[in-house]
Amino acid sequence: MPVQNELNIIIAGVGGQGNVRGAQIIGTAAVRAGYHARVSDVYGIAQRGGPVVSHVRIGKEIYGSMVEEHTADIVIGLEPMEALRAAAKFLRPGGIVVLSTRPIYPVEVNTGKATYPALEAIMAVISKVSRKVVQLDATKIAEDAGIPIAANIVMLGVLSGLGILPFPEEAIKQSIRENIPRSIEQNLKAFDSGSAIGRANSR
Amino acid sequence: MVLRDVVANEKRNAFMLCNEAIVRGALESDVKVVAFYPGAPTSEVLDTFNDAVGSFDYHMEIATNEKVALEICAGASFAGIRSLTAMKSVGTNVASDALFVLGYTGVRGGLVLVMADDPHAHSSQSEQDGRFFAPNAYIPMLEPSTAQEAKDMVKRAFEISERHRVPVIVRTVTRVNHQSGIVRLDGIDRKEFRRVKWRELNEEFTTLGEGARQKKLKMLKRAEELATEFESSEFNYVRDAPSDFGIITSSVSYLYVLEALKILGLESKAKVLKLGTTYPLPKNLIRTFIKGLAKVLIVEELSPYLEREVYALAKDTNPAVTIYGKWSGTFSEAWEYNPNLVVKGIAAALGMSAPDYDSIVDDAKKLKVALPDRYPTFCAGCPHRGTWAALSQALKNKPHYFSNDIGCYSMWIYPPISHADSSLCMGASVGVANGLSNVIEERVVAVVGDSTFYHAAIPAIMNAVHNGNKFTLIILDNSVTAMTGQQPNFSTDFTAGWRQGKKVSIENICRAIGIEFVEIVDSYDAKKNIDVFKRALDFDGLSIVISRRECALYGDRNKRRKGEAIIPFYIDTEQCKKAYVCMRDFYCPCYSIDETDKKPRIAQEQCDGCSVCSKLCPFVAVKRTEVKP
Repeated sequence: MPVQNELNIIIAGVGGQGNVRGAQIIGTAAVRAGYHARVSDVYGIAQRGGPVVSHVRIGKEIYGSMVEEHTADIVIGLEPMEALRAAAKFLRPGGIVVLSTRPIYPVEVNTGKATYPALEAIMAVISKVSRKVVQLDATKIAEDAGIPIAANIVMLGVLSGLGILPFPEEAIKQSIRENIPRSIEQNLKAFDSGSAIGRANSR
Repeated sequence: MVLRDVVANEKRNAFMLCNEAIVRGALESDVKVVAFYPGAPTSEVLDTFNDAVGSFDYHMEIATNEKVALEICAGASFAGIRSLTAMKSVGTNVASDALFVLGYTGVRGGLVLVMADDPHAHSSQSEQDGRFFAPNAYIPMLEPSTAQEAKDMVKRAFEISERHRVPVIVRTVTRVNHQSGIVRLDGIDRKEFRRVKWRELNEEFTTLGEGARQKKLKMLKRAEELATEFESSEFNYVRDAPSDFGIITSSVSYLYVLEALKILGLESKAKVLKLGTTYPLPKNLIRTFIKGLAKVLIVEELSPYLEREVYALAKDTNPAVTIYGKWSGTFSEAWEYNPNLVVKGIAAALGMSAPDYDSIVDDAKKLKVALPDRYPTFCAGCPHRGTWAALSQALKNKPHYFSNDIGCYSMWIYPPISHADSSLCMGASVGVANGLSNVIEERVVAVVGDSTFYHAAIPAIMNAVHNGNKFTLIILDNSVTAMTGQQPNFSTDFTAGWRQGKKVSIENICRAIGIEFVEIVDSYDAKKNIDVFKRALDFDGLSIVISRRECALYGDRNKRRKGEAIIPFYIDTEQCKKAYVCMRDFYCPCYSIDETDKKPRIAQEQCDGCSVCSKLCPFVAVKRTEVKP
């Protein structure tokens, strides 16, 4: 999918999954590649365990830092329920969803006070509103790369492999090297695994 | 977040968080003294200075509270040294006692106060509109929309501050502070930090009685001069268009306006006045802008701060103009704005139809309604969870009032715990307890964290001692300011930049002021602590329990630094008799139920090894993983 004027990306997950870092990595890579980019986040430990949505906008000229509702080209969901929440609000009809299937249960669900919707039900709705859904267990892939926490990096790999970003993969890899404090090799390995999945789904 | 970009003495573009750009602007302005109390959404200003402390010669302090931070900056400024502080707007409430007087006394070295409002109360107790501090205290205010503008304004603010001898507020909102974008780096040209000879400065900074009356006149003159100067400020500008429809806006709303005009195809069909100097306002510029307009729309979050000025100016300039904003019902004073809201507002003012966002994706909307809420929760290993496990047992069958405060433990007000009778502002749990303890029959229990204890609780505790007020105070000492990102505080051995500091003993303070019941427990000893809490609740007087254990995230970081392993626990399913004590009232995010045997499981990669759940199990079925040799 060629980027004409701008690309709107939403990264949705649970506080602690690395949303903010993921958004920074894409933004830095975009700027290095000569694009304009704005990222909007809400930081803070108050978000720990709560839903977190990062907005990433890339283009020739970008005004606002937040993605308008129902205009996101792609929603990256680090967690199924949050992926659905974000897709329902931000995805444009016919957009792409990349979703990590491993749920993080709210404590109410763990303690039997609420029910987590069935993954099939979530997928059924997401499939209806999107053109393409890429599902993977990003945590499992990150574990295989030797760094379980890097599910966010796996997802960036998928994004890159899908071929929607207007800049080469190396720009993101360079951005990972600069933005990640440690275990860079494992992170890059996680990224490559994600990228392969993205490429396999790019048509 | 790349520190290298913030400290690089290079001229180039960088992708930066606004809070980092603020730091970069201050470094380019050769700031020499910075002082803070952390508060979202400005905490990363503190954190970035904290990380960069080794690269430069500025003096940095993490202060007791925002008032002390501002006074540290004032002291430096009186000596001609450039200083900067940043705080959330509710922090400015605390600092305001000093701020109002600094308007009278003036300053010498440039003094910049970055004040962040939090529309939507993302991480605050209120949606306070801090802009009103500026006209109230006669202190100039600049408002950026982007990271680049924030850096430019910080630099200009230092210059204005020195030329007009007045502190300058740079006012942001959460969506500006936490926005990243391209920032142009200018060079960093710093002079060596040297002590100043006060005897050579020959200046006074006092105000009282007749002195205050004379300084008030000077202050009014200064405000007039600033107003004249801001008429031609580079931070106010008009995007012109051949139209009789105009929009006046500032801060992050400006970006939403541009976006909304693009979406509606009105980019060349509406005039836009972007205001960057929002006190004093460039009144002539506003008058000229609204002169020929039929309609003007004001787009600003929170209170109608700009709107009321526009009404006042329109009365003489263009009484026929129709003004759209909050008073017309076009926009709300509640919650933050976004591009969609602004699209709707512009469309309403022009009588156009706006896209119906809500009906676009109906199916998704339906399931979204059925999704359970996800509240922020305590981390795995959080000492507050251990404290609650014991405290909730001690409070059972004990009628009480629960007075909560500001910190991670504020989350006790959220489900599934939902336990608090009141929660106001920093330190208020103790102040309120003083009042309640003499008027209700039940025992009052107040909780306060270590950082909040130093920040604002000590005066209220001394009040209880002196007046003989009887209640129980639990001090949750997790040895770091956890909520805002684990900054060092007086309960650690570290000062700013993680340099060696002197710990201020909470128990020594409590005992020194004459409190008889002061007990210290380990937050992880959940079972043992029930009895201590019970005795404290039954004590006929003021009783204090210090529940101490370092923040789990901070502790993990220290462990990683030392190369120590985090050893998780697991459920021995043979021994588990499904009592569910481990998870029922404990709400640890590591726990889930296995669908096959209906017994709990602990997610190994999440478990912090705190051991508290293992102490709660009556069948000793929660066990520590054996470490491989």
